[in-house]
Amino acid sequence: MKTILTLFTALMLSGFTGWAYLQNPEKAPVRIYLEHFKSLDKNQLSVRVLAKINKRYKPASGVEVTLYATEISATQLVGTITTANDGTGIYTFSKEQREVAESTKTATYYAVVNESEKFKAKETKITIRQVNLDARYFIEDSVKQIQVYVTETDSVGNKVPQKKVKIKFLVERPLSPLPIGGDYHVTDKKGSASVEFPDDLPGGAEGYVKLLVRIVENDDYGTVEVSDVKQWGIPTFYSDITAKRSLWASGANVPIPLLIGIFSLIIVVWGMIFYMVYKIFMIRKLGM
Amino acid sequence: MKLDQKSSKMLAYFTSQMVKISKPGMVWLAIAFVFILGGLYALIVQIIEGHIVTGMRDNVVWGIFIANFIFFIGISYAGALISGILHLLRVEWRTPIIRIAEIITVISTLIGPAYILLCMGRLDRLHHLALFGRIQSPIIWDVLAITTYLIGSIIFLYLASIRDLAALRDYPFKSKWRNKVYKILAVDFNGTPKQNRYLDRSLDIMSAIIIPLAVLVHSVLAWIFGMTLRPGWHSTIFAPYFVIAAVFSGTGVLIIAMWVFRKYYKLESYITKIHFNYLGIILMILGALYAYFTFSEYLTSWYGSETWEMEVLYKLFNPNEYWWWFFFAAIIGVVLPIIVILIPKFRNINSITAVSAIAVLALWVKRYLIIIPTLEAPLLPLQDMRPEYIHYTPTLIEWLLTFAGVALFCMLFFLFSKFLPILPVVKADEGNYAQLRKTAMKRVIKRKVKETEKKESEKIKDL
Repeated sequence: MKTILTLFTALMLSGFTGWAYLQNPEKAPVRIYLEHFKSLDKNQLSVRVLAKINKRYKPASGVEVTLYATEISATQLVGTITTANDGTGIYTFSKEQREVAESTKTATYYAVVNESEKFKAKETKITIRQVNLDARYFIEDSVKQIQVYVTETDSVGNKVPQKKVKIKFLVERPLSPLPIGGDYHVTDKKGSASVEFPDDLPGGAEGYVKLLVRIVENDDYGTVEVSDVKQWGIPTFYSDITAKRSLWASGANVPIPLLIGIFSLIIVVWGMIFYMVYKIFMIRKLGM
Repeated sequence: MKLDQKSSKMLAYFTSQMVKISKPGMVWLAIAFVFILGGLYALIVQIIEGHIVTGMRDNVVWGIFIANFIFFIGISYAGALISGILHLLRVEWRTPIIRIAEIITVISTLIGPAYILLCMGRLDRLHHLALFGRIQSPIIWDVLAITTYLIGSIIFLYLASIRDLAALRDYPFKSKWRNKVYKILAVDFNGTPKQNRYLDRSLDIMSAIIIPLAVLVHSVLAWIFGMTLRPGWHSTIFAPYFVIAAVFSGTGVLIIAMWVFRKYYKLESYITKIHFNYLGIILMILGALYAYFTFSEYLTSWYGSETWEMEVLYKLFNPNEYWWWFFFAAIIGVVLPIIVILIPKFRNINSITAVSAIAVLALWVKRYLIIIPTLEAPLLPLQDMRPEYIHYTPTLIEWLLTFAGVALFCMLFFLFSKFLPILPVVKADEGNYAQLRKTAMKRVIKRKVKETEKKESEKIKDL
């Protein structure tokens, strides 16, 4: 019986150990996804790193990614980021770096993961061209409209319209931007696309809404965004429903009857429990 | 403390069993230990890698951990209701089963809430529950109710064990630690009439408290679901439904435990067929009530034909989704125990235990079916989602932790039986207590009669 028991325990433990080993393979191959984002006030490089664990690529956290511009060399270093739990990391350009990026017509960026104890080495690159995204916000015949022109500047400084570029018109909302006029629009020969702003969209207390126009994850330009705030929404007044005593209010605003009910119950039941403890002490006293 | 012949005989038998562990007992402990080790490993993996190692995702945020939590709190009913009610009603045949029932309550109330902790992403913020918890939330009520219930159950078990602890204190154990612990826990109880009266009165009060407390705990647990506006949960009958299901599963576990200990400690002359029959009949009645609630719940949802409710019902009745689970949980697990116990020809100790085991398993599946299909039917339509976000599948980590919980329950139960006799050894002298009460009442009546006579004579004098 002892032998069977020992064997059974050893088998179970070795099984767990083997499984544990499979859970943590050494030097996992990685994949890097690099994207460029440009808005009116910032330029960013965002990185997503996946590592192959148990035959599946999963987000890799704590991976150090080095970013370079033009070529991989110490002189072209842009910066270093470490990925978060979801395997992503964002690098925001400094003012100087932004000025350099804006003056370059075509820019190449590299993301490099050096070989470490956990991960194999990997690098990836993106090349993006400068693009002009000019948005106009106007009201014509009581119709609120947004029109956008997508152009590139040629060597002599002329603006060349870019056709068939996917554009998204969005309104900023608390969780994620709300698309207006469909999922996306495509620019015509003049490099133009437009959308009507709906009349029934709620805005802030005074009707202000933030309008966003985006070229999203374009192979040539990356993600480019322009925005503006307009008083085009329906003014919405939000009353703070948590300020009054109610079931959905904060902990400090409990309805009084509920508070009395719960605490009465607690006092009665715990009172009984303490009475029982007292009785136990009384039993002891009687036996001494 | 003086013991009668029967109690002395029982004490001698149990103490001889308590100080040794037989070979089957060692095997049982070894198996439970291996499962607990597996659970520990799973726990470490979950702590290091986070909840990604479980099947829970943004949409299906609760999994089998919550099913286990409800299951364990449910079986804790065995001690609270059965023991409490039988004690208050002074049912003669209760003696061999109440200790087992009370131990089930304490151990399952200890293990159940641990599964809630396993569901929490940031255990380091556990104290935020006390600091920032909202008293309006049924989850906070649940924390308060379960904590109170646990303390109440421990006191109830302790009070019911004091006589045995006193007998064990006076027993000449070789082990020093046993002598010390029994001495402390026996609180100088010597079985004097006054001590007996205090103890019996305390037990009566505790029995009366523990019953509504148990009902409250499971109602609050049901309200966590019932007060949420989700299909399959938002129901007015959820609280009594949960209470009935809890007593049903608690009785089932009690029967299984009785069968196991009867075999292991050879208690055939103490735990007899009558006990199994009586508990079997209780199980059958509870099964019928549970079936009625189940039928009523699903008929109302189906007849209402609300889109959300129908989505959950389609999942439950779809053979490619949960139909077979539902069939087992709501039909096999209920009808089979009723038939087997109802027909005398089928009714014996083994068959009652077997159908109890089926009922208990069915009740676990039922808890799974309450949680998962509802969460898989979100109120907002999901698009472009990965399949694991929509369909929940328990992972190996979750199964390891589930089996570890069951193994821990069995192990603690077994070890407890090595510390305290699994049946009460010293029987309370309820006859004497009743006699004392009777005498006391007579005295009160006599005094009242005297007072009335005195008043009347004074009135006559005045006239």
